[in-house]
Amino acid sequence: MIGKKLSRIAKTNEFFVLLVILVVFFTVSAISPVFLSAYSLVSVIKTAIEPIIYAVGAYLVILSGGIDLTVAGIGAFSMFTATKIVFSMNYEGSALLPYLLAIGFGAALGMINGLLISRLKIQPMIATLGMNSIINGVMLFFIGSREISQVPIGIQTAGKTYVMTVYNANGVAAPLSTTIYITIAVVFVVYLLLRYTMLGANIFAIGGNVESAMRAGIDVKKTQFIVYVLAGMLYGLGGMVHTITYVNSNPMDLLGQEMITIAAVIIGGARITGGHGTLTGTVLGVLLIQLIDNCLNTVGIPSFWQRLVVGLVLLVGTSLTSYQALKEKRRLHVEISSAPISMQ
Amino acid sequence: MSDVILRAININKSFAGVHALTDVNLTIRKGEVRCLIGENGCGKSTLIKVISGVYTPDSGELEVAGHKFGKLQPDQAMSMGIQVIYQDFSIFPNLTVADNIAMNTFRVQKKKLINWRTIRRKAQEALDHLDVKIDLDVKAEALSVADKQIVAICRAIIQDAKLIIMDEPTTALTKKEVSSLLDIIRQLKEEGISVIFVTHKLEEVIGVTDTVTILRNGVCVVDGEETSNFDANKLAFYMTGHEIVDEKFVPEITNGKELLRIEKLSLKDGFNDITLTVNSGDVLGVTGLLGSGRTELAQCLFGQFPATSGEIFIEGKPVKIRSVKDAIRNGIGYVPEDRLTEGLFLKKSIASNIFVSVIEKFRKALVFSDNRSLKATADRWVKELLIKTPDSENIITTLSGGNQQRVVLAKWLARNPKILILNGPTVGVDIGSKLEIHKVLRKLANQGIAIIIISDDIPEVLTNCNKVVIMKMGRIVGEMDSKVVKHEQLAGMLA
Amino acid sequence: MEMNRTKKSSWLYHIFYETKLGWLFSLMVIAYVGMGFMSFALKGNFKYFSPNTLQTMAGQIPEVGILAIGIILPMITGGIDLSMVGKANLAGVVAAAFMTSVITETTPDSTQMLIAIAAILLALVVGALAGLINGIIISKFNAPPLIVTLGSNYAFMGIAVVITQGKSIVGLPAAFNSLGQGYTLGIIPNQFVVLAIVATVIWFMTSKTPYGTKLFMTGSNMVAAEFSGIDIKKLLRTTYTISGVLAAISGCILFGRSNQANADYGTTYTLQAIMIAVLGGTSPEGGEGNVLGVIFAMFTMQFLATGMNFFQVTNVTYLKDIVWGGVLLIVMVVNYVTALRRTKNALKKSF
Repeated sequence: MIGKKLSRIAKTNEFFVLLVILVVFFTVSAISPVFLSAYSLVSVIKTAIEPIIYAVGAYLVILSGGIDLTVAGIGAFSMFTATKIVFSMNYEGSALLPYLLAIGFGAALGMINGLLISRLKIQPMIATLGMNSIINGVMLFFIGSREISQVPIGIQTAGKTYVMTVYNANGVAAPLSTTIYITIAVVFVVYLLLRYTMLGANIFAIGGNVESAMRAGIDVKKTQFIVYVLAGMLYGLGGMVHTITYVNSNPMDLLGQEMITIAAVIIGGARITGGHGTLTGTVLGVLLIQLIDNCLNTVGIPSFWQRLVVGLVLLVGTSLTSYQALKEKRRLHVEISSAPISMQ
Repeated sequence: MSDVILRAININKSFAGVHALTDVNLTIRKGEVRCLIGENGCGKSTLIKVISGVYTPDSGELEVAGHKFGKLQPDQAMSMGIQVIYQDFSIFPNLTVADNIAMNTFRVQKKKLINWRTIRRKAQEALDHLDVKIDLDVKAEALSVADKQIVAICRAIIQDAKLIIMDEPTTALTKKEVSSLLDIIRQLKEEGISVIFVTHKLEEVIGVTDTVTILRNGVCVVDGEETSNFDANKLAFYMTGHEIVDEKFVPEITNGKELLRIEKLSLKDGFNDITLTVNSGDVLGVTGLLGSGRTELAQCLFGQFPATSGEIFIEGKPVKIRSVKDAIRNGIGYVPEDRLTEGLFLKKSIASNIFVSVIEKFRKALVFSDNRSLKATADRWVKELLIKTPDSENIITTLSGGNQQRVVLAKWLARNPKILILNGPTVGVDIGSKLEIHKVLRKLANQGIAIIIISDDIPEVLTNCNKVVIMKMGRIVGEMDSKVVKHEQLAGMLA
Repeated sequence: MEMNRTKKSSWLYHIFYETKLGWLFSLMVIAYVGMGFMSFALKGNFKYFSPNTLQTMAGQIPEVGILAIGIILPMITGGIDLSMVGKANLAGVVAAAFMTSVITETTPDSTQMLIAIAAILLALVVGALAGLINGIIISKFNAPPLIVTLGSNYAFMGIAVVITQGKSIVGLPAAFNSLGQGYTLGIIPNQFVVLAIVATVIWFMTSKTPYGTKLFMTGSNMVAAEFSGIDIKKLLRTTYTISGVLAAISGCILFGRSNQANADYGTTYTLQAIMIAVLGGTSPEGGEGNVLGVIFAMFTMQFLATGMNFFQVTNVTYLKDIVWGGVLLIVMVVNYVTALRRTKNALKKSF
């Protein structure tokens, strides 16, 4: 029983990604031994705090069979507008208000996505493509395009409270911000949502087969709507974490984030057609991308190689899984026909 | 208390002025197994949808377990114990067996949270109840068709089903699976659960059904009579409204030259050592149960799966068929099993559905396509095969199933094939069109084309083929002249 | 016979009403005239209608326009190509690197001309190869185009960045730059001529050749297409290769216009190209799309963008984002509503 379970785990995509992460980690450590340190570990985790939040949101959408190109748009809009509001009201309280504002903006924008997709039946890619353009335009045209570097005191303090700080051999500090608690909370809550609530089950169901879901009495439109709202909230939250981390709110910072987020979710094993993929996989996908980013620096490869490597990982990853699926399809097909032969 | 589970009274339903159901009455008693039969478009599916609350009838009443409903909502129908098992089983491929079976009970109870232990327990109970063994943790996409169906039945049972409606449940099952399905039905019946079987193969379910309802053009022509009063011919008469006479096919070309010969052809895990010959003018029937290798043989000859060993000769010359392109180049045409997903371009016109196979053939000035000739080719075949349409530019979905199948045929005929392989040529085609298609096939054979019909419809094979080959477990177990072989004999060899 | 004749004589009717192009054409005219009068109301002159403005617009359309035409081909097969800009930049950067390494200050103009032509050909080959790689992965492994091209976009851009070492390549020869800066007959921007040629060629390919017919059939049902003898693997390879070539053309124009090559240029162009393609009537589900519609759509977008330049507001490019996204969504909603009505009507008629 345990052996069966283990072999099942060994066949999962998450296991494979984990393996790749370990291989990369130890190979780089072998090449440059300084890498094998608490410092590197914290550096990787530190950079993953923010993208994991986006990725969890995008994962929910992809799981439900959709796709969301508004990651960067909603993230930037929410964080920038929230910061601008608290800035202009000379707010001096804690970071809670900016957080809530950002989440609120994210939810509102997610609602528009949800309405376009669930009620007006626009394909998710087109709807979110248009929305992203509008959101960016509204932010840069009406709200402002200049970064806010003098962020309110609450955000400043939030950005400078650390769980711990580790140093490398040269005494360079790698502080781990308390924002990691937010990421952990997000992952935990979404895990509970997917595992123990009917809503979570419904998200899996509509991603698996919309027709069957409708027959089973699932309110597909409502579920889709909620998914996009939740995703919007997470992007907003992630955006605020960005502002807090960098103690600076620049509306241009997140440009292109939507693509790398989708890439992380897919590398983590989610299928673009929906219904497949796990939260663990998504987190691992983000970690792998961040690890690659970090490693290249360590090994002495300039950071502009990063994109090429991420692209190759994605290409090799999808080619492998697609090829496996193709083989699986053939094998299944033959299994049906071969069963009687083996009985002979 | 009466033992009537469901009573439908004078149900009328029309779509945009056309009557789909006219004054249909239906009464199902507790533990009754009813067979619902009719041609495509007779109103069967509309009736099911009215009963399950998907459609609201224009007039009439539904009475479920003594409660009257003018308007029944789908969730009401479900909570009253009416469960529909659709042809695709409505399974979630990405979820486990346990989830598929038991998740819906939580949904019906409007629960917000999931208890995984309950789900597993309930699912296991349902499987034990039917005395079947399926791993609860396997994802449904990995199951065989029969197991998927059992999962769907389990799901219905644990939702306290009082009436289970099964839409064409036997279509994709092997003989053995059908008999275990019938065992399950018997068990349900003993437990007082009623079943409505929607089917077109009466012979399969005759042992288990009590009564039969036949619909024709939205009117109930036979209402709940004893099944034992019917045989295939009588049934066909009621379904179509006229007598059907089947004449056996006698080839006009008696000593046609050899067109296709395969020797010791094998496909790993598909079939073994197949040797057969088809001559010009022959109609060869390849029959066998699902999983006998019949479909794989067709797909191999059409180049989808290159053979692992053995030889193929066309007009006496050895050929290699490694891809669909090879097959087509060698004059082989293939009418696939699933017309809608594999045969037709549903968004396109009738004409383009026909000329798609000859696009390369008609060119102007080397690079441009000769659209006028393409259209003319399509029109010629529309006329030739009597496809009923005012204009070949109309979209393909304006045609009936039988006419659509003729379009798929026309697509191949436009290429002048030497050999035409048809996989289940009349599946889902109503009886009238079925005969028309058979007529076309006979005519083609008499024009010198070698035809291979792959089908598990024994009467179809017997009346339309002059040679019959029976496959079982990937091998040919019998080859015979259809003139001498009898229906029962063939059925016996298949099982 | 009678029916045939009426049909042939009214091909205009066919094009404009049955293919929804009339709608797009009207949208384009409304955008042009509307923006013109708005700019008149705001500025009190008719500068918007001046030949100068037209010339500027004609110079701006082609970069994204050619990408949009290049993206409809994969979209018709039911796929998508997110690597358009990646291919464009890679091709452009390779050409630029080639030219700057070969040309010195003493190279005579005539040789420079030849080198520029060679560089452009090289770019086309690079674009074609990049597209072919997409096509092979998609067709051989049956991998989802969205993900493959998302990944290859990173890879292509990555290669381009590696070539430029993250910097810009400056000082491209004038002969090359004339592709994006020169004028044919003294008035028409060269790049617009290229766009016209590309559009014509692709229009012919999609509507008048066997390739085009097969393209649409494959997009409408890939399995049925395979079972009808269409070599879909070859078709996909060809399609993605062509889209690569078009991307390369766009890349050359882009770098020629800006007189420098930078691997990070135009990252937002891919999404703009998709927007134009969809607005122009290309269905993301495959099987539908046409070049003429895409042309109307790109003009519409350009008219709106240029019109807004007359509004005398700062950051007008951002206003453009709002309007473009808004137009796209409105058109999609209108399409949905009319399709709903049409199916209802069709249901009525069919009985």
